[in-house]
Amino acid sequence: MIDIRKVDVTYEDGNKGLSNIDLQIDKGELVYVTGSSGAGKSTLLRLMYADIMPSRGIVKLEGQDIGGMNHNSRAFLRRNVGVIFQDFKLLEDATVYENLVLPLEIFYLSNSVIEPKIHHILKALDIFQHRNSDVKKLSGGEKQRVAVARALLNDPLIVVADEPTGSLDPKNADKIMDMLLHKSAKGTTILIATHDQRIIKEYPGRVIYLDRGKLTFDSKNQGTADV
Amino acid sequence: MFEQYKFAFIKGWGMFRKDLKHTIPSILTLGTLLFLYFAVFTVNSSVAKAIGNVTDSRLVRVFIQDDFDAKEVKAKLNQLKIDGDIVYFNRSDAKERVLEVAPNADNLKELPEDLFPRFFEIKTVNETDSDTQVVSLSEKIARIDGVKSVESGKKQNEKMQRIKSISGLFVFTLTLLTGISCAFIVFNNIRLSLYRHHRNIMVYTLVGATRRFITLPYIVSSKFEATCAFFLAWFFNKLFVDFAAGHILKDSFFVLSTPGFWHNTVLYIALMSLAGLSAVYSVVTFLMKQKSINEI
Repeated sequence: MIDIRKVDVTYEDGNKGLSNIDLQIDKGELVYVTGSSGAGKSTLLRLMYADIMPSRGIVKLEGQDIGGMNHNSRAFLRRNVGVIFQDFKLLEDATVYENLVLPLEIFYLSNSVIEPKIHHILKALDIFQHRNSDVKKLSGGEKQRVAVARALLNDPLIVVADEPTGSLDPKNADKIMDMLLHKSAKGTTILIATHDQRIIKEYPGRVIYLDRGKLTFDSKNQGTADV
Repeated sequence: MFEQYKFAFIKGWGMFRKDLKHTIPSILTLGTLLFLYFAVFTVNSSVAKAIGNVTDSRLVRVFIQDDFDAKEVKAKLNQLKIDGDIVYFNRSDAKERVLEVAPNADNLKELPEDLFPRFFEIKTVNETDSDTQVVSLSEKIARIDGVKSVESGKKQNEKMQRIKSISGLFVFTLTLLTGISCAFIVFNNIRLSLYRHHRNIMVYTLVGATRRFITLPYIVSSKFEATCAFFLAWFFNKLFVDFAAGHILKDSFFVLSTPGFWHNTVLYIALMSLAGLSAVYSVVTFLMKQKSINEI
């Protein structure tokens, strides 16, 4: 599903984001990416939705090497990757419904197809009543559920979440995690960058630890790496 | 494919309507520029048409010597069996003709008729008569006794050609400059719109929209903008022409007329193509410079 081999990421300013990363993730796995700030968690996640390209090595998603992709291929790849951000990245002046139309519009679907899909996911995330509210009027937890809805609408093969519970209280954080776990059980691969030890304990999954761009621990190969 | 264009049309129209208050200055600027172009084009093409009328290459004017009888000359002209009308202008007719051509030349009205030369005006009927044939006819007429001089349309044409060439060059240069300016105005307006919708574009990119998906609505929107500007310019040009023809050029031999349907169609298609290309360039260069969604 995800195959990362000897990957380096070097930024334009010369800083190394990742160094010699080897990582294989299977379909349906729930993987926590942990490490201190600046360790390379977000960089690793950005590789998953082809937001950055490796400076060296190979990143294969579903057998496709992202290194040789043109803009169009990257766009089609992203349709299979749902992304959730800590700061949501929603259109604040648009309604919840308008925000959720965006990922479906790109398939040129008619309203008769779009509307039931959006209503279904809004009900599942318990925010149906806010469908016509402007996003800026929602609470942090509600906004994050809208962001999750946007990421899951197209039934992606991979969900990438960067600190998805970082700004939420435990109750709202649990709601988000329940939804992600449910998707993982159905075969969606989930990568979550987090500092939240409570989440990692309560929702068990594979844990990888990054330190200054290097992968120093992988719970799948426990004992072979230093934490 | 049809779905894509339908979507782009609806989205582009929505975008144009939503951004209208921001787009109005651009439409007015584009409209003003096009109006100036239309006005110059109208005047230029009308002048070219007028020159064409005045310098009909099939027209031959035969001026008669003072001491010769016009009837004798007419008889000799008839012997040449010219295929066309031969009309005689005596001194009074000649003066009247000059005043018709230049109605505002009041000083000419004061001149005595004696100063106006008598002449025959011959217009050959056969439209396919070449310049060479007209010149040959003029040379034959020039040999007739009593003929003072002969002027053919070709000679007039040669005189006027230089004026037409200069004005043609002027319109060509103006077309280029107007085209470049229109392209820049559309480019800038689309670029401003892209900055306004920057976050939407980033989200679209995140969820897997192709460049084509993002670009098409902007092309549609730019075409609506250019269409508004075109019709605004056309309308004001029509007002200008109607006013000039009804007041300033009233009773003049010079007829000012707006470009015809085909001229307008060609100009409209050219403008649409230019607006579309400009929009594509604006969006593509913007998307190429676009940074990561993490940075918004």
